[in-house]
Amino acid sequence: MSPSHFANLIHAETVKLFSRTTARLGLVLLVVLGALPPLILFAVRLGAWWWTGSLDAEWMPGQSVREAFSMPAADSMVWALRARNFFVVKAFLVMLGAQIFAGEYQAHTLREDLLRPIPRWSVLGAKWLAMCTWIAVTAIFAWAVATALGLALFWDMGGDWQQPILGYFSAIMADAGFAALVLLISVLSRSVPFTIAGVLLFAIMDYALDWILWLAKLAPNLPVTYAKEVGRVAEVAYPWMPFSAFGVWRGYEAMTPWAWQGFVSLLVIGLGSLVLSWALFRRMDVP
Amino acid sequence: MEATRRATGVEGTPAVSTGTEVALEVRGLSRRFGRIIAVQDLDLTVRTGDVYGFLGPNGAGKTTAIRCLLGLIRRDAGGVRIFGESELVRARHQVGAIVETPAFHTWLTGRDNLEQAAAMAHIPSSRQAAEIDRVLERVGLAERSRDKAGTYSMGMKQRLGIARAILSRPRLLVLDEPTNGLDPRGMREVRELIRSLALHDRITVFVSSHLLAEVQAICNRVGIIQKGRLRAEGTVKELLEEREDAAIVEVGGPDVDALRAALEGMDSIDLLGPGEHGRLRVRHGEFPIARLNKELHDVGVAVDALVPATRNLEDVFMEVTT
Repeated sequence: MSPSHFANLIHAETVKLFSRTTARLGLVLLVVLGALPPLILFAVRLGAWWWTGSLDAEWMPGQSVREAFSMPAADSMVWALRARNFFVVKAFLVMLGAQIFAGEYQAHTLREDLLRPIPRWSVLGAKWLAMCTWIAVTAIFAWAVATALGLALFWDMGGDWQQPILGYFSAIMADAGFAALVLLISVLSRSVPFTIAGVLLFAIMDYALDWILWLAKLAPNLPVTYAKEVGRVAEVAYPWMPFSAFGVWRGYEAMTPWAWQGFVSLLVIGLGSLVLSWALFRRMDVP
Repeated sequence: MEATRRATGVEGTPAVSTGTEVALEVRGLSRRFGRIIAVQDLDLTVRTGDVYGFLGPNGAGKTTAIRCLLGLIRRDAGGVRIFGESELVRARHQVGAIVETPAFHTWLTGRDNLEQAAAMAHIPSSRQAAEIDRVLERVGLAERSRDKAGTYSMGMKQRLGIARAILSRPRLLVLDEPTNGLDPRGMREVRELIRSLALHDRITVFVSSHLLAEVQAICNRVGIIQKGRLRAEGTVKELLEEREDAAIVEVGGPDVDALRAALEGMDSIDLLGPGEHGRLRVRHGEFPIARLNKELHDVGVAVDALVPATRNLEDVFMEVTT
């Protein structure tokens, strides 16, 4: 298969993905969610302005209405990132991942694709790359709208821009890894409801693991045998776990610095999921 | 054995020849699902220019065989060559296919669906619109091409499926039960379309069906499969002649009951059962027809028809699959 043929395939798959109601709804919702924090704060500022009669009136000791209700563009993009990554983008990725593989398998449209002169790896690769395109587009739109609103409403260019932008890049990478995992579950289950259930089960186990390791990290404070060793193991294992990998984007926050282990883990999960999906798909009967 | 392995990738199955006249060659194709043998040691040869009818009762293994030869499902054994090419991804450049009911992205228009297929078939973007117009015109769907595929009738979906199958100008068209679920008008339209594709576009057609009259109307060669095995293969003419029994006639008369009683009473005559148009089918063997007529007249039974029984594909099919 030539690179141009593969590019055609990715383009077709992306057009198809963006024509889905789920993808369009997700794009709108993620942009709206990102736009809400500056809009809400601006509405509050207008209320305070109306209440006090002036933007320069004192709202709190030493703070005017203008200062109390301000959101620099950098903060605006941070809020949009938090809103985006607070389960919403993942929920849409689960639905899209389930639809584009298991859904197409069940509707037999996957069979129609396989009647074309294309190898199976390219079908899978194009589907994942289409999801990655959707992830990048939603992130860029959410970032652009939130930043533009922050600038337009508060005209404040202060704050750190670099870390949030790195956060967006990392979020795109983390979501791409998550999309690969969803695709794997979709290939494994070949059923839309089972894909959703499978990802939910994974999320619950991942969340439980997060709690267990977090508690284990506190073990050295307990007066029990091997407490220190347990604590040390938990400390070392924590940044390698899936929850750390999918949460690498949080590195922009001062409290959770960037952890290289999370990126490595993300790479392993993403690549591993894609390779395993291909290994399953290449021998799969598609009736 | 080495040659066999090279040709089919499966030890022990016969080698596939590489004649340019052969559009599709299947040798020793087998597939089982658990304990159920769906296709067993299937050999098929479709020559360029054939309209090949692949017949078999429901559950005979037709669709499984088609899925295997198109690479949709795995083969347990056997080899497939399409125009001499055994690597199926490459071979599919020359193949258009419909397997069972064609599936579409229902929220996309007919045209959008074809654009998707065109991109996958690697038709250059500069040529895509023209090719899509060509096939839409060919199947008579140009006017409805901007409607969502989900709103199409069964017949329209089938025609859109054919449009998609011929989009990349294939040399071989594989159609699995193309008239399934269609009303008589839709069946006729699809049948005419297949005939026209073979005749005017010179596409080799491999069509599976259990509608025997339909196959007899459009196919020149036929293969009959039962329980996963090929039971008969040849031209329609060959199959009809091969099993033609000149010693069978149909006898008709105004009083069928009297006629039946008289025929049952004749030792040299073997009453086979009902024939066409209320006549009775008999095997007369060496017994001359003129004498049969005379004897019936002598016992007072009027005869108004005495015709040689003509056989059709249905008779052959019943013989082969019973």
